[in-house]
Amino acid sequence: MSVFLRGITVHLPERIVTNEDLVANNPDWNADSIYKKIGIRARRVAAKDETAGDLGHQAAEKLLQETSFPRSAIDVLLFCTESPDFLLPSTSCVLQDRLGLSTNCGAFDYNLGCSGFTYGLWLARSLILSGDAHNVLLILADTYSKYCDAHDLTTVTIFGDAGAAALITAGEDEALACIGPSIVGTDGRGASNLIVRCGGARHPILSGDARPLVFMNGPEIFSFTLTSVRNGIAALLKRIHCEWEEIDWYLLHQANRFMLERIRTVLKVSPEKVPIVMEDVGNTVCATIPHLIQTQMEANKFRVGDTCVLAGFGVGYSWAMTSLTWCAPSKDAS
Amino acid sequence: MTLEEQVVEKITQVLQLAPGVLGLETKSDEIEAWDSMGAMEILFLLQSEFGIELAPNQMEQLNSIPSILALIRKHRELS
Repeated sequence: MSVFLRGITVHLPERIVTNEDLVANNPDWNADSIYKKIGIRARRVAAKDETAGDLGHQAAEKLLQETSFPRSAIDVLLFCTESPDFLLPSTSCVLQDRLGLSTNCGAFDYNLGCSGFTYGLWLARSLILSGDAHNVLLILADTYSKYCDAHDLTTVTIFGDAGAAALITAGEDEALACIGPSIVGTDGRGASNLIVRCGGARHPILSGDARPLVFMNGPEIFSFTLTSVRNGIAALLKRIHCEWEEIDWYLLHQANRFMLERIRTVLKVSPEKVPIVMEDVGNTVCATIPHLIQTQMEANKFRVGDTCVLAGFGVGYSWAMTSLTWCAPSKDAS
Repeated sequence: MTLEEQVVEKITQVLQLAPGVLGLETKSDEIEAWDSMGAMEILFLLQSEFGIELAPNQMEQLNSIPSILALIRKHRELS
């Protein structure tokens, strides 16, 4: 039995924040130097009253309309976010209702960041292979901008907001790609290096004007990334019996250009196989790989039979690497 | 070229410093370019040139030339 990626969409919020906008708020910063270091010129930012649930809802609506997939046939909804609409209930329950899905549809949130999409593919495929589900709607959205301090160069320059949705099915009809095995991993020793420390039960926010803020230790995250991405991909390649050069695309979480360029060197694969697409959207956390796939699809980059390795890695520390085999003809070939 | 000379030369290059700025006792807080980006460049150098991988929360070991040299020597002893 095989499991397929049937469709994928991304929804970006309207508001654009450029490097120049950030510099206007931080006169000591330099817009060109921000771009040179991280490869981001602008990021999309959710409106004050726009939540991850809203971004995910928009992405899912677009996906369901584009694929004309019957809502009644979706039997599991997975929602990946680290910025849920409420502490409870699970945002996925709210989305089940907003999207008009069946009440027989299972729904739950899972809290992961940059490994969220590949983790979701792993989970959806496992549910389908178990026989308990046939069609899984995977929604991912985050609004890290709400956690960023406007004067923290390490975070506010990097993160952007976005929602994404993917449909994973047991049926091969109109499939984009066949989802192969995954490997997953965790190293909680890195938990404090990318964290929103306050706002949960451990450190409740008691003051009226305080809000949860994200802290990132850039060098530690870089150190983790250099090691985990190569080792994780090597483990996946071993699992699927492939050599590095047999893979057509390495679709990595779009952390920032500095990091990705150095990972490319460490992986020792051709740079053309490791696309970087984040200049106008920033690091959208769980939505970066869907955005990358959508951009590559729009540019007709994939060919039938192309093998892809997807690598999600970050906050936790958490990582998941998944293999895909492309099966949809490119637009110019049809 | 000794290991010490090699390390000082390579770190001078990745931090884009003039020759002679770094010495065998230099600490990161003495060099403006040895900020968090500089530390990441040094880590990348150590991984790509010396095969060193750090466990979580060990980046502080990269805060001086002596500590980096100690790290490389320890790595060589273990491998």
